[in-house]
Amino acid sequence: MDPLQLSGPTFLMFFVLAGLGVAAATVALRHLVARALRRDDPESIARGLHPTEVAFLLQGVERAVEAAVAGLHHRGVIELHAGTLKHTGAREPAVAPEGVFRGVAAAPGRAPVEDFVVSRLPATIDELCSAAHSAHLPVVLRARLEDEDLLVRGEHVAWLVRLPVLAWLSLGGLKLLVGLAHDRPVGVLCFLLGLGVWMLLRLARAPRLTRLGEAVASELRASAALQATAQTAPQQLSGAEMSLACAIFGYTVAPAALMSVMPSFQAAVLATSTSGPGASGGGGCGSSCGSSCGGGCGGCGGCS
Amino acid sequence: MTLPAGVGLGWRPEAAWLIDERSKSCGWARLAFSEVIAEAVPADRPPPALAAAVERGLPVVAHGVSLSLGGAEPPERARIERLAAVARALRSPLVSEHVSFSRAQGLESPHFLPVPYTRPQLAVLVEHVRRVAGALDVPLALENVAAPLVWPGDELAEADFLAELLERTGALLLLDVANLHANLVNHGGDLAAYLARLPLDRIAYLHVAGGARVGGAGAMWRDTHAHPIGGSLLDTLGAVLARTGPRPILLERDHAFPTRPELEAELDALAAALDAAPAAAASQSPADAAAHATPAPERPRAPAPALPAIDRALRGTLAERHHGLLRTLLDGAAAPPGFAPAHLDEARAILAAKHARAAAHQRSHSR
Repeated sequence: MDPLQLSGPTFLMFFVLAGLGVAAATVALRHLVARALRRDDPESIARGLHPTEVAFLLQGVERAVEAAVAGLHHRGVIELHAGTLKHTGAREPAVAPEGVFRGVAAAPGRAPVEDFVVSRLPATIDELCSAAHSAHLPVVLRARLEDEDLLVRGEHVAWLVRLPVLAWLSLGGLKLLVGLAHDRPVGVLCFLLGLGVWMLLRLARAPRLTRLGEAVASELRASAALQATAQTAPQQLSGAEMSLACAIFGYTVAPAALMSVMPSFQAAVLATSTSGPGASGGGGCGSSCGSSCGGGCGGCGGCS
Repeated sequence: MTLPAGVGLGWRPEAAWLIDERSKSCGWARLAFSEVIAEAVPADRPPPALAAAVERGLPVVAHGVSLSLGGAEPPERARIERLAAVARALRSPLVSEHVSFSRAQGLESPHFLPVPYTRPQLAVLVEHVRRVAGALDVPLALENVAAPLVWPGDELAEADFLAELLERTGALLLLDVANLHANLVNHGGDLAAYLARLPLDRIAYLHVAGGARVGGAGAMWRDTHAHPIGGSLLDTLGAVLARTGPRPILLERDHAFPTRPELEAELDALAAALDAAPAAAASQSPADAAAHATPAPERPRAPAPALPAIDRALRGTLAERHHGLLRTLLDGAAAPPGFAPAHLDEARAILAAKHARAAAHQRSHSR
């Protein structure tokens, strides 16, 4: 059967049914490429990631730079002066001085993103983010997270997911040409093709995270305790914990000195100005102070 | 259900991460329980971090601060219902409140104040405690407060007053060691004698919090909840534990949170004190005490005289006394006779500090 030879109404019926099949196939392909071979506990995987890896997993390389800057600033390695980040000259201790692992030898060296940040100083965060895109950082971070089975591997899967929709659009396009050549009405077909383009842009995209990656991301985003403490008593956090908080919650937990220069803050301001006061901030990590500050309002028997 | 005999930390956003981490850990560092100010938590929507801790199985006590149990008028029904709702939402094993008052004849103190230790006051408290306990699904524990002032004309010592209150109501005791320490430092007294008069078998848990002599060496000791716990307080705690045996201990910290290592060092010090407590000294467990939530007839104590009947006149007289003190502290009215001026100054300073902090908190949240 040559579908191009079908009469108009019959073709449209066939085309609609084929479209439904294509949509189902696309969903199935997305599901297929997002599968993970690892079966580990998301919580233990989340604990094994460096904060900058968490940031890259959740939001990309800019958030990784933010997280590195927040952690280095909290540890006193860098400072912000007139909008520019500079090295303070402080040396990091050889023994972890804080947190439950205090007294334990600190991990040797820094993470690649932290090394990158320190090596580029003095610089603004915007300059660091721009440089990070052109550096090999995204490749390094992606490879590491692909190895952990948290990110979907390879660029070819993007085309694999788009293939059914592209084939369907091609068929519709050819029929459109045939219809135009025979001076037939093509309004419904144009509408369906428009629908197909929308599907290509919105639905037929390979997921970035595997299902395991999604589970790890959910686990990380549920760290309400980390968010609550980062917003109210950052001195209670180690450098790595502050970095992790910024990786997950963006500028909403950043130190006051850094908040306004954070790209996630600028993005939130932009979103607010374009979407009105209801827009959320921080790349989906808007402030949740209203819900997380509940217990701090009272105070008990203290009489200071 | 009773609390495990371990160390706990009061839930505040500032400490949420430490509580989260330590309640997941094993061994000596493990946090056994927590406590939250019930008035600071929406009953229908607890903060996510607190809800997660409860979901993970951390026992969280709902701690009330606004019932004004010792007030002349009964605690407001809405406040009691809210406290009960928070306790249900947090699956609290018990609820605690203070033996104090904060409201009288339209005046309200930003901080609770000690009640006069008289039999009319005791009668009213017993009635109010029974009313609140009857509205709760879990046992109620009553906390001794730090008293910056001493009422003139007290008929009972604080320990006797508390003991009789507990006996008559069947309530448990939340023994605040920091408040006890402050009272002993400021007003004198003997710790051993104080403890000997209390029904120690009714202790549900202990409170410990840092304090300081705010205003210099000669100033009164203030239970600030904003200073590290020091050696003298730990000595008092050790003496209490030597009498009671291991009991759940909760560290309260409300303000001026230190770095995490400093706060962890305080928790470690409490764990060490608990480890050092002689197990043989452990009296009847709070679970047994809760099971016998009626007057304990075997206690070798002289039968207490009957309490006066509560009528309009008794409530009116009590309200006048409370109101007189509140007018002095809040409105600058002349002090009722018998109060020590230094005590009134200290109480005014405490209320002013509390008021200023509440205003600052409100400002920061309205921005």
